[in-house]
Amino acid sequence: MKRLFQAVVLLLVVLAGSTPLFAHHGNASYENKETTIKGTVKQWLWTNPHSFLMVDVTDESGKVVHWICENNAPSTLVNFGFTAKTFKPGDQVTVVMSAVAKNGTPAGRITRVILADGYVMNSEVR
Amino acid sequence: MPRRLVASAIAIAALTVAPVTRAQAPAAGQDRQGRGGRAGGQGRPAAAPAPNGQNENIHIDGWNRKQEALEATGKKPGPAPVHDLSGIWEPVPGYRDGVFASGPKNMPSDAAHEAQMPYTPQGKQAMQSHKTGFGTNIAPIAEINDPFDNCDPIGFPRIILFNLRAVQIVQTPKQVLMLYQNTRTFRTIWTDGREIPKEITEPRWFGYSVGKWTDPTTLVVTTTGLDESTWIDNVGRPHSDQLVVEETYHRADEFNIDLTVKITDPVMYTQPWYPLKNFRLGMNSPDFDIREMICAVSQQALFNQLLKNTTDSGDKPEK
Repeated sequence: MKRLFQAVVLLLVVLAGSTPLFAHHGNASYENKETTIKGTVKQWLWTNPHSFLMVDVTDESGKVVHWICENNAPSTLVNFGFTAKTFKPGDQVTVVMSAVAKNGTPAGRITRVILADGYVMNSEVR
Repeated sequence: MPRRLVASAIAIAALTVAPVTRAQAPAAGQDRQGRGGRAGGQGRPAAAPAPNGQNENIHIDGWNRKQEALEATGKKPGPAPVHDLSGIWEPVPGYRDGVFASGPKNMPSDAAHEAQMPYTPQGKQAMQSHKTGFGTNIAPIAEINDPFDNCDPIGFPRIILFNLRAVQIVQTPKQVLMLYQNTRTFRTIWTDGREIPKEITEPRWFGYSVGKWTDPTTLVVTTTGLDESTWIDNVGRPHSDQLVVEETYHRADEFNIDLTVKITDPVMYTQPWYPLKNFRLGMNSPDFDIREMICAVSQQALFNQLLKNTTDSGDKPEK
């Protein structure tokens, strides 16, 4: 059973390695750790080489943390329906990230964004 | 197996197999400007609401029109035309198959392929000095010394070995022009019979290129005179001013070109090597609009600032 599990994990790793999600820099500064935040869009930067969704998250004590959420290049995201106008300041979003900064700063890589009404904006590539 | 590795593997795997569906694509040519234009500016594609509550992966061009390689639409290719590469091309079967972030398809930068690379001692030293975003020389973002990270011109051959996306080929009686989506750059390949310069007095980012038809459907392009400050690919392969690149464009049929690239540089490599072998480019519709993909200095500076300062140096952003 353990061997089968290891084989499946290995296969998935190989599959995952076949299509890097982000082309301009690698993962050396991030660790793979799925992280979900809920907050308010401060800014949507539709820029090369990657786009950024800046999100303010308020914790229970009222402290606001400014998250920098990195997304793919616009030339990839357009194929998923993202545009320069997809988000505007004030939008309520849930952001799911696949990896976050190793040093603990609030920065990560977006897997998907769930809009206020539940609509899911994936950023995966084929 | 260490628990952390397993967890990482599962996270990566989840990314790869995440459910991106291809539901209800609009008809080709349908206006997709509604995508992202929902009232309130949210991200829902207004033209084609997805039934399952999530977005779709639909390849669109610069005018937001759905596009597929002609062969994928079910059309049958005719025979290859003679001495003709003109058209709008993209990697197939996947339009992102030419991203080559981890190195070109036939020579990615992993331990096995790096062991095959025919570096000279000087080449090995030059390679080791390159701190990259991907490959065996991967470095934390703050340490990356990729010249393209400052928006230096991507140069040749990196323009075809990294982010090779859409390319329009235009032919005149004396030239083949290649117009690239990535960095919105063009190359001129002279087909008027001239030879490559014997002496290079001015190295260029994209060098000096001549093309010769070796048979009715094969164009062989030789390029030299290349600026030494560029990298060959996205994983830092070095070159000297002795670099000669040979590209072979074989028009397999009406809808397909196979591209082979040969690298020769006796300063950096003991023998030629092939980053691409018969890499396939498929023809797009002639109304395909190539979108902009530009390295803008101000945007790049913002990118560098956001990531370098927040993920590497410990210079944490305001909380």
